[in-house]
Amino acid sequence: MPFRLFTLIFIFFVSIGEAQKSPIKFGDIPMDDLKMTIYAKDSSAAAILLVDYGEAYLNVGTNNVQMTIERHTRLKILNKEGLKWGDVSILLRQSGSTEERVTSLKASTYNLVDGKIVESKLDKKGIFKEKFNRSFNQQKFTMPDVKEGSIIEYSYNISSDFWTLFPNWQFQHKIPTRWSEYWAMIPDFFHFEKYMQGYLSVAVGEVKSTNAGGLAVNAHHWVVKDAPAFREEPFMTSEEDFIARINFALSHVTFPGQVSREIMGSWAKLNKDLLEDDDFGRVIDKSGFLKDITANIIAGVTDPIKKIEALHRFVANTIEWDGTEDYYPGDLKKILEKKKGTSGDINVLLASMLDKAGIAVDMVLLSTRSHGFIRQSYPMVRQFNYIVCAARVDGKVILLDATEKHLPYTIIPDRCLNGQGLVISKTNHGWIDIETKAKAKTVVNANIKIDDNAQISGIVNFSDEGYSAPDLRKKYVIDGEEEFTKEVKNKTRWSISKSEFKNVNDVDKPFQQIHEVSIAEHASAMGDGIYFNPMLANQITENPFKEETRIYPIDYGAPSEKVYMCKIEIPEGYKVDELPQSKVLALPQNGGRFLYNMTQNGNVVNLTCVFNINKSLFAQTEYTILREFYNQVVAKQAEQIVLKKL
Amino acid sequence: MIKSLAFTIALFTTAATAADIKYPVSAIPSELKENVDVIIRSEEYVFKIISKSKALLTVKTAYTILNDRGKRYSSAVVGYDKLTKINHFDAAAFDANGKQIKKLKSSEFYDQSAFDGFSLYSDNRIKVASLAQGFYPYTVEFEYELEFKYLFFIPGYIPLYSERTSLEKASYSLIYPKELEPRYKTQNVTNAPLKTQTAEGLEVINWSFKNLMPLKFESHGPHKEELVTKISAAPSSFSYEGYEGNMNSWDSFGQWINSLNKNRDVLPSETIQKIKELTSSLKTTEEKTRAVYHYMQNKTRYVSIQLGIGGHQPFEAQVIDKTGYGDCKALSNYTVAMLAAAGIKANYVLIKAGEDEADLISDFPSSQFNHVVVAVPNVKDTIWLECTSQTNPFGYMGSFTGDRKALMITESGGKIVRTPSYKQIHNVQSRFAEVRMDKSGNATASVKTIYSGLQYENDGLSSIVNNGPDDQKKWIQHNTEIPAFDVISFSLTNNKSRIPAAEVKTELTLNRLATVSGKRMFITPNLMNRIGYIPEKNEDRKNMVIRRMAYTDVDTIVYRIPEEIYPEFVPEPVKINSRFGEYEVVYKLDQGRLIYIRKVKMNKGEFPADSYNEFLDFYKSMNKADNVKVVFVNKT
Repeated sequence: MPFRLFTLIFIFFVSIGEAQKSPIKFGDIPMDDLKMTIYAKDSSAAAILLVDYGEAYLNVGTNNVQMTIERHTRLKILNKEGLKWGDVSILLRQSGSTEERVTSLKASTYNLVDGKIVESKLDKKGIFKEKFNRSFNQQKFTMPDVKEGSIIEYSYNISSDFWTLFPNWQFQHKIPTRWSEYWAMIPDFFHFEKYMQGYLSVAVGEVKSTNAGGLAVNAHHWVVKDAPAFREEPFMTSEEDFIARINFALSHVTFPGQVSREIMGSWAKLNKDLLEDDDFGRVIDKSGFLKDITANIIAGVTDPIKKIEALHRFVANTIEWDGTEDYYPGDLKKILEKKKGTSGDINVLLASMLDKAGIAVDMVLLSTRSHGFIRQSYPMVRQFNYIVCAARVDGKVILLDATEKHLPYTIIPDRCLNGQGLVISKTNHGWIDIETKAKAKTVVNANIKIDDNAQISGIVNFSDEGYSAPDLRKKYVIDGEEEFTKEVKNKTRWSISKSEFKNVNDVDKPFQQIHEVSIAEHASAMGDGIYFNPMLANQITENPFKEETRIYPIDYGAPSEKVYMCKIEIPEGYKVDELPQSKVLALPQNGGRFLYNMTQNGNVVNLTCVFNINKSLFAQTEYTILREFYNQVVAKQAEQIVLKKL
Repeated sequence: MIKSLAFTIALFTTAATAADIKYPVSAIPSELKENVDVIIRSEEYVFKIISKSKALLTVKTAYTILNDRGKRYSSAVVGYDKLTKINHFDAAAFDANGKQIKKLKSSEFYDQSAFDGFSLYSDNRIKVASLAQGFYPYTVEFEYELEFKYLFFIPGYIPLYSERTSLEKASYSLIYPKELEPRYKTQNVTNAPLKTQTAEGLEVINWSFKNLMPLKFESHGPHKEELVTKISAAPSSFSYEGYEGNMNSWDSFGQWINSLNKNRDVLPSETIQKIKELTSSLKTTEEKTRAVYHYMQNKTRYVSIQLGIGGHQPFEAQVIDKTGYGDCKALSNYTVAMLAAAGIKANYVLIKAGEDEADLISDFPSSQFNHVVVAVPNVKDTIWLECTSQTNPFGYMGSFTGDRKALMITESGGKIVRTPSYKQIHNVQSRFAEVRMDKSGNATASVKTIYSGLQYENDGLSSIVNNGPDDQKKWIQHNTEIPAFDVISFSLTNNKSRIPAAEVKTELTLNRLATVSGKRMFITPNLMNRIGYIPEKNEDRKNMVIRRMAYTDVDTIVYRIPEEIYPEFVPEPVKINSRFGEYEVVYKLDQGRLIYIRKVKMNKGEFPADSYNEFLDFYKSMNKADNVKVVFVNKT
């Protein structure tokens, strides 16, 4: 549903007009910029936004509001990689017959030819408009005569009826931005919440009160100078979280002499609205048709935890998640018929069934990892894109999500692990940590012996639980045992004579694979000795962090644990000549731990190796130490045992 | 790119009422249900030629989907544009018993611009019907009719194209008036077609298929397009937006292309003048061509715009001259025109581009192309030009367009030609590294690697070499295959000769390069070029083994060993000769240095199916040799 547009009767007709000016004059190109061949602040840059100027204002009519967005951009192409910036695309909102329009498009390319500036204007043939999908049109244009060294300049206006979605402004792009400036001209009676995100500081951040045709207008003004190019790093949530941007959300509208109309309100108001919403809160207590189905599923069950487990299993196994992340349910009856739904459908259905089973349950709104962080100081519903259930048993809260049939009820999908969620409840409204005790855990237990030809044979047992298990289960179910085993063989290059799988469908227990193996190419014979690495599996063979430095935090999602235990029998007539030394490493504040413990008992060698990442989030300041931690683990796990003939 | 001609086309049926029981799963022969994800219950394609400029394609398909892996069959994507209209499109789903559970309403079809990822603008759009259900099995049925306002391309038919799919029944028909009889070519089709006539007196030719078992493809074998059962069809006389043609021979096809390109090669006199100035002092065709090519590369950029006949016809050369952008057709045509101004005759060449494309079917003239390049006949060889890249080395036809058949457009029509193929001696990766070890197992290294020929494209190097230092550093970090390292400094040099090469130099810190266990130290002397791949086992190989690229890798790694340690175990040299290639490793010890030299030469060619085990063993042996360690002992 999101925002329902309200009708206001406006009593004014005011145009705010073009109050501000772009810092540059169209076509007035400084020679220094034209001559530039390399950007001193970033020698890697393929192109730079020299100036990116925007201004958005509202025109208030007698019974409508119109928004205008003006944009003026000048950019410099530095090399051939940058030529693609000569193709521009503008996304325009559209809903029914209402659509945003581009007007006053002006665009030129400037080149230096024999010391003179040559202008090539955009040809009408180079402008295209097309429907992109139901919500957006796309206007594209391609600039003429773009070469290395060209400067491109364009300006246009967008007229829009979608004024409640006041445009955000991004100060940072994939290329450096030398000057980024934005004016948001907002009449006194509209109140927008604003927040700045990213890691850049503003050169100008001010609000000026002006007057346009008798109407008080707040002119918000930001300038960011020399924004570096935005570059993605591994183990990062969403670009959305880190790119420098100012965001707007309509909070309330106050017309003179009228009571203020809350648009955004507060979290408390959102809570109340959602609870009273026929399509949301009411769905849970209504849905009487679920009574019988629920009763059937929990017939004979008295333990509330067992009831939760049974209902979760029913929903997870019955309804397939269609991949859509949302928080509003559709018609639950139809969902149950179709056996397919969004996250909103599935988890509200689960809540409704829990409610019928007499379990206290609230809904929890959250934002998934790819959707970005929640900023709690800005009560805007569009920060959320997902919903889970919070059941309460004996004062304990159990978070539930039934979109993944391969996860037990105790574990919510890792996409949800993104800080806090908002509990929608009559009694328990507030923020809750979206936490899980589960981690991505793999335990390998090997019982092997090595013969005098350096052949290894024995049994290797893999046990995966928490976030490590669902993908394997899915693979096993879809591919079948034969294909699954074949892939293990191809990946490990082991000969496997027999395999056994346990707990394939029992999601509460670890997914186990037990392989009888013989391995020809792991150990090597040398002269009168044999050497081999005791790590047959679960070895970290390379450091995932290749870069020396880090700009953004390192976000793993969930903690992880890799355990490797091995009992190795050495051949008769050999002695252990060299054994890797035991080692323990720890990251500060218990962030991670590594243990490598090697012992020998007669002709048997035992290794226990445990690798733990205990925190899901590391600050960028911890990067160096984390990278070194991996370096040491990689080196230790590569060590060899040496056997010598007696 | 040329606008893609083939819309994925699939399906047809008689009108069904909701009460009908259709496609019950119980009716599927049990052998068709084994080891499959999807059963094609029925597929009917009817292509009807109405006139030289009008045709209809009626499709009706039904698929029973058994599990998640068959999910992609639950939606149908139908492309259309200004010249192709969807007359109707229906989609319905049935449960295992054959009861209809869903019929899409018109609002439930999804309509979107067919964004191909590189065209700035094209009029291709797609309509999508999605019927995925949350349970299995279920059956989906799609039915649609497309009306083409041209006759240029006739969709062919491949009954089975994917693994784990079986087919119950299928039929493919061509209907046509006698005077517009299309041509066809079959591959692996055993049964003869049935020829009949319709009531209106039109000719009908029909193939039908029944109970086909799932296919199984093998790696390192022929392209699957060459293995499947396939019917290709093409018109004889045709018309496309007023351009009439005939496709019976490559010559007549080429003449049609000539008619599209006619008078589009006119250049402004200033440009002709400029080209003359640029080339008049140069002597050879090669020098002149290079000058024109570089002029074109610096003046233009690639922008793909495909509208109507614009999918086949280039923009005029003077438009490109003015705007500086165009697609493969426009930029090639522009280059041919400029070469003409320099007094050089060059040809426009249609090609099927792509890294893993199947070969052009050269004995069946039809529209099989997706790209255009330029060929310049020279004294001894031909110079080939890729005109859509601003950075491509002059004359280089890499993995995208090299080593394949193409259609060269000539004055008299068209001629099948072959683009250059690079040999083992051209595709070389040659590395020299000095590794300075200390007694605790840490090291520093200087590495210099030259990548030439097709290896110039390794992991996108050919474009990275033109990018900024950030991208270059990332490339180095991803292509330095050492467990842990720091890049201290690096440089890249681009040598854009006819056989291009890039030189990558790096200075590295390699902490804990050697593994220390007590008094022993292990190193894997193959510093950063291990095969790391073994083809999968196959006890029952059916197809021949094909190696498509010949290359040479040479690694010379010199380890400087500190005085305190001496080698305890130095592996024996290895030499493996096989029909697939040669592998050789030698170790030399001298004055505190261990020198490791590895040479690998891989051959290109086709080998009998029963050589597969030998192929596998070759990889296994190389792999084993690549992972051998040298053991050092500390004297102290």
